Amino acid sequence: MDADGFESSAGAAVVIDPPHKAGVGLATVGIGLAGLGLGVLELTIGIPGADPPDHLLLISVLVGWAFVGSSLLALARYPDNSVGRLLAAVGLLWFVPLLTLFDSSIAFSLALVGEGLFWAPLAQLFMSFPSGRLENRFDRGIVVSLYVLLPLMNLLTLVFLDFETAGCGGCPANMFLLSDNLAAARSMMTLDSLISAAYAVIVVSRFVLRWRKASGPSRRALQPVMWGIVPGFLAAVYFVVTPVIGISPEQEDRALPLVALALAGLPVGFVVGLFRSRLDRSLVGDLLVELKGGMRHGRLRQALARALGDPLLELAFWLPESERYVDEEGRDVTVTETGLRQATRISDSQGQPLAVLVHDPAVSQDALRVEAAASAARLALENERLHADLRAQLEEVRASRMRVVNAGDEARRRLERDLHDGAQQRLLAISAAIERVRAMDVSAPPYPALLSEIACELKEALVELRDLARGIHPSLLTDEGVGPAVDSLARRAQVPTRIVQTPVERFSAAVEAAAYFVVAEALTNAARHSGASKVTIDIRNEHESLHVCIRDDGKGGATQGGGSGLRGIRDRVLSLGGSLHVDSPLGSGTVVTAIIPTWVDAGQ
Amino acid sequence: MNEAKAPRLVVADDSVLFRRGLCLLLKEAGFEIVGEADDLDELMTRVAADQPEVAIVDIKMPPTYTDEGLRAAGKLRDLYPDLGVLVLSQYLEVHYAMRLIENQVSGVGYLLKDRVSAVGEFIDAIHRVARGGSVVDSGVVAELLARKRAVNPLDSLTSRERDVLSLMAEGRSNLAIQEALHVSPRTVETHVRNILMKLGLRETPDDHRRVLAVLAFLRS
Repeated sequence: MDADGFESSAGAAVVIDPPHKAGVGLATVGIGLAGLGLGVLELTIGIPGADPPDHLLLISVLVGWAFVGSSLLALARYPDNSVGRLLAAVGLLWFVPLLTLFDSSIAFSLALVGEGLFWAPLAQLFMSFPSGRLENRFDRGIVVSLYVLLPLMNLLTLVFLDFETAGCGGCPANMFLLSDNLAAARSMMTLDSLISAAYAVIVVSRFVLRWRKASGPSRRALQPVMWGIVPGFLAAVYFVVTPVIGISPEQEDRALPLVALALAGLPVGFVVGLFRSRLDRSLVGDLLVELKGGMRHGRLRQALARALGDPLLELAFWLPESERYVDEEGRDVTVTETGLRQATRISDSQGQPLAVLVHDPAVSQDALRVEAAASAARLALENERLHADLRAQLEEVRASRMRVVNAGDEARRRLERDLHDGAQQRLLAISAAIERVRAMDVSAPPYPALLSEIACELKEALVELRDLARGIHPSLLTDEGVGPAVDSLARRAQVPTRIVQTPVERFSAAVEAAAYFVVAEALTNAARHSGASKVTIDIRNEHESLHVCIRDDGKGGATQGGGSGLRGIRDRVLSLGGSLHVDSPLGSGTVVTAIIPTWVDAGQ
Repeated sequence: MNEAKAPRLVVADDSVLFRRGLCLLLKEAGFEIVGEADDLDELMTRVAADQPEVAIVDIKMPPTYTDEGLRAAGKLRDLYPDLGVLVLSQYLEVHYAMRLIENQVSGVGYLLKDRVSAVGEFIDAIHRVARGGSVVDSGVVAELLARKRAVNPLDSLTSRERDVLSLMAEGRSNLAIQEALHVSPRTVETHVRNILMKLGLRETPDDHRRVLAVLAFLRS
């Protein structure tokens, strides 16, 4: 962890580069002057021996300048990003053929070895844009091998190429010549072309693939380059096709400015993409203003998302005591990093871990902006963590309450089953036995009367036992759900009860039990205390919650406190993260409303 | 009581104690028990092998102890349209009875196990489903009739009409009602017509449809 309170995450390479300040200006000026000078040189003198037409010369210089100029913009604005340096490398290597100006065997030979070397930094640019870092080993392998292969292939060609045999009488001697073999040199050139084509396909498809997968800031960065690729590709096709099919000078005059524009557009695409990936730092200023006005709960994530230009930004708080991450609502979260999402850790004022931002990799390129946003939000983050911690603890309490309620429910269900399978069956068997006895010849007093009495008592016992079992836990609720069970409650209610609607869906046992017992308790209260003449029940499944509403027209004045059975019901509803309201003004009836979330995992 | 030949029975109940008692009771009452089962699969096997005329089925049996009896009734009626199915239950719940009756054309019954202590009613129910009639437990009907209503259309019925309505809901035919109340066929017909008119229900010659209509009315 560094002094700024930042720390790169363990898994991914989130390196927040210290901004380069000194020296940058000088290097930038040097690159600019070199580019300008080389261009002017090429324009004024041309390339001896190559003898290109004037307009081709102009295009060549323009392309070189486009790269150098773009690199100056990138370096000035984002000196810590290697995109600028790579653009400069492409631009300067573009002018390598100028080495042939020197009438020296060494310079001339080196110029031919270095010809086309600019493809390597250009490929690196494609593979690493916009972060300037290569993502994986494959990409690194491609780029490194290209830096090796390009000069190597040139060299292998030169080994067989005598300039005089090739038709350049006035050229300096080839210092790498080993054997004068034009056929071998031609083969090497063909091989070179094939390898180059293969690399071009790999690099461009890798880029298109990344472009397709990217979202948010990364997408914004890659898009302009995508725009640049298409005309660039068409320009390349132009140079390959026109020598074959032939083209009139007038047509060429019209086409070449477009070709120049297409080639020069590529570096512009990179710079525009770079600038687009790094939204205005003034957004951090907006964040400051927002924070100053006081941050409402739950808004901090959105504010940070806006400031960092990543709408999908996630925020997780570290709770040191329980050693876990939670979101703003106190829910457990895991911080995962992939190639598409990176984590940046933020420390509190004591330097202890505070929170983690999970964001688009493009966000972390602008170290200053992330740092500024985090510093601005640190106090708010600490405050928000306290809230999250509190919520996490409340969640613990709720979960523990739910476990208690669930254990109670489970015990009730077991009791109901035991009654059903045990005592009830035995009494029924006895009933059958007594009926068999009664069917026998036992007409002598007092047997008939006695048997009748026993049968009658048994019948009563069975009725009482059945009511008891149903009160403990209604089998209908378990088997058929809230609708039929509440229907049954309403039918047996002491006060005329009308059902407006009940859901047909099934929910977790805990949710169904809560809804059922809310209705049961409200009906009991209405019958006992309210003097109501009618009750309506309305249960709706809306917004991932059961909305249970029981309304009577009694005298009101019911409370949730004291010995009211509503208290136990309240515990039940709260344990599911729901709420229970009793609205019972004197003289105006009672409305019991429960909202029970249906998504809560009851842990059963 | 009915004088027809006693139907051959298969009895399915996972409680051995109750099943034995019931079988002995029915045997002594003159029925032939051709098979016993203690779960759904065994029941299906026994019915296929023993070809009973009525299957007496516990509503809850292994494997799930939820609604095997109701599901068995559906399956059995599909496979053997002439088979009567009497579902026995410990639950005084209109919902289960309606689920059973609604899904079948006829020949099914829902009876509380308590009715073993009223052998006459029990035996009568077996005969009725054997003949393709419908049976709804009198306790279930009583609960439907006793429901508290803000505006009760049943208030317009005479007490005699209520008795007739109750018997209609239990699935009895006009003839059975006439026997039960010891009145003339004409009297029963008059009562039935008056009841249906007062409740706004249509007359239907089909007994099962009449049961359904009356139950649906009482339930609403």
